[in-house]
Amino acid sequence: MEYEVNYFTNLVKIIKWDDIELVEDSIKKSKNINDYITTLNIDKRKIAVGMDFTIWYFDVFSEESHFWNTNPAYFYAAAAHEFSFLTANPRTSLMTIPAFNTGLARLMGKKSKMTLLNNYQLNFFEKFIKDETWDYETVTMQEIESETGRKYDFISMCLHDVLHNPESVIHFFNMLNSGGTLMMLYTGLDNLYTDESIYTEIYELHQILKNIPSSIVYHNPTGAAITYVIKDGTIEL
Amino acid sequence: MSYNAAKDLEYIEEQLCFYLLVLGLDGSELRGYTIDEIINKARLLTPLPIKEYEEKDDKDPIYLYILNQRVSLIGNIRRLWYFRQLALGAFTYGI
Repeated sequence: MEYEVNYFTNLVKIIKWDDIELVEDSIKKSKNINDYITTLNIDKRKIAVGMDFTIWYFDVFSEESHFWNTNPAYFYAAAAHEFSFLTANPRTSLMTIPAFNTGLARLMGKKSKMTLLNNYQLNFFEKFIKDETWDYETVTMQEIESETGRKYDFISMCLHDVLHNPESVIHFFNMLNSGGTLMMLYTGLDNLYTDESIYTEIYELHQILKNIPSSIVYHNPTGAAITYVIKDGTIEL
Repeated sequence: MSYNAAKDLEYIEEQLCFYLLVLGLDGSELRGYTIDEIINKARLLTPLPIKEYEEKDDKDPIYLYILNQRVSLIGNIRRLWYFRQLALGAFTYGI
C-alpha cells in the first residue's frame, strides 16, 4: 500500500490534466448522494446487495479517509479517461455515468454535444450536480437497444450498463459513428487476469466485442481498468 | 429531457423478469417476490461446496465454471434489484 501511494504521488507530478473533479468536490457530492440514497430505505443487507461495486460506490467515496480518496491513483485513472476523450476529439458523445465520473462528463459537455443515458446516474446528476451551465440531451436504454436516434463519435460507459446482458454491448457499439471510440470503464476484476477468467462474464463481454468484424479492442488494466473499442470505418460490412 | 423514472423502471424490470424466468420463477409476478426468495432460488440453481474447494490450490475447472456462473447470476440480480429500488425511490420524490 505504501509503495503504491508513493508510486502514484510521484507519477501525478509529471502529468497535467484538463478537468478532473477535485477530491473534495467528489467527497461532497458522494455524501449528498449517499444521504439521498439513505432516505430511500434501500435494502443493504448482505443477501440483497453483496459486495457490488456500483451499490457501495457512494459509501466508499463519501469517506474522507478511504483509500480511493487519499491515493493520487485517483488522478492517474481519471487522467487516462480524459486522455482518451481528448484524443478522440469527438463532435458528439454519449455518457452513462455522470455521477461517478463528473469531471469527465463536464469535459465531454464542454467540448462535444453530449447525451446522457436515462438511468439512476442521470437522476443523481440532476439532483446534486448539474447547474445552469450544463447542456445535454438524454437517451433511454430502450432507444439504445433499438439503435434509433443520434449516433456518437465517442461513448463513455460503464461495464455495469451491460453486465446483466453482455450481448447488449453490441447496441452501444452500433451507436458509434464510423471511426468512433467506445470507452468502457470499470472493466477490471481480480480474476480477469488469471486462467479462471475464461469463465467470467467480463471475459465473455470482451469476446463479444472482439467478434464484431469492424471492432478494434484494447484493454488498459491500470486503476479499475478501461476497455477501448474503436469502430474501424475502413471495414466493409 | 430530464430523468424519466418510469422508462428506467420499465427497462430494469424487463431485465429482472428475464432472470426470474432463468430461475424458474414467474416473471409476471416480479412485484410479489422478495429479494431473499430470488437469491435463495439462484443459490439452489448453482449448489457448490465452496468452503471445501476454496482451501484447495488446484481447483477443478468445473467448480470454477459453476462458481463464476453463480457469482454472475447473483451479482446481476442484486444490481438490478438495487437499480429498481432507486427507480422506485425516485417516484417518491415525484420524478
